[in-house]
Amino acid sequence: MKKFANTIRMLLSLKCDESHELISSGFDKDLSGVERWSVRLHLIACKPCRSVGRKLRHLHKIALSRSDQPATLSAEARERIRQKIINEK
Amino acid sequence: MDTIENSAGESIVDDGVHWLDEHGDYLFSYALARIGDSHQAEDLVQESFLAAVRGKSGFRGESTVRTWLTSILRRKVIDYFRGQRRAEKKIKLSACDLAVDTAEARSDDRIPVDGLQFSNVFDQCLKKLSPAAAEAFVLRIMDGLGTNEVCRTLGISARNLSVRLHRARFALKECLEKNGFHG
Repeated sequence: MKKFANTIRMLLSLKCDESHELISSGFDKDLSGVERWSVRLHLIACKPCRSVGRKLRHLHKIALSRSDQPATLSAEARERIRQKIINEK
Repeated sequence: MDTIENSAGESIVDDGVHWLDEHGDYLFSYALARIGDSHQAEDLVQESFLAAVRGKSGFRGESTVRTWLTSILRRKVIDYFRGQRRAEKKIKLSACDLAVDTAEARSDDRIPVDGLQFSNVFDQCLKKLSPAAAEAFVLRIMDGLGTNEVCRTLGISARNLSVRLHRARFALKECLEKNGFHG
């Protein structure tokens, strides 16, 4: 009964931070039917939350492009590491 | 180039030097993008090469050398975050009246962006996360590991991972937006 009441509450009055949590989880797992519909119904009524999914996708893109950026070991660091490796003989 | 001597020690060291030439920059880029500190990144790369040379038997040829070296470095990066968490706990214990969520509290201050490039801003925002949130984000989003693998690697539950990722995403989003990167 408690679970049923919570399902109804989620569907009818999901809070913004709950919708954020579910939108975030949706990137990592399949949401349940109730979770998906709760978010959909919330987004109909809540304009600010509508852009959250797009913004998180953008964040992931930014993070990936950061991880693709090449950097170069400084000559000093490279030499230091080379010496350390040679000392392993 | 001198001929390679046959003693096992020498050939492993030669391999190590060769790996440094081949993969040094790649590994440095990997570490730098994830911890945002070039000195620390250099140290982690150095530790990884030494671990690789010492435990070369760990390389079983099931993957490329680069993949193998990256997996050693990833472990070092996770250890680095673990060290950060220990340090954070000590700070919390010495100021235990400050019961605040560090992931959110730290995202408040604005980073001066004048002249700084995008990667610097991203690095600074990533560094403002709690280490627990940062390591989850790094493994799941930047390394693209599956949720089960991240949970296994960090020894945490799926629920815990979900909470960490949620905190990381929203703190990063907020920090990037404050610094002029709007999605």
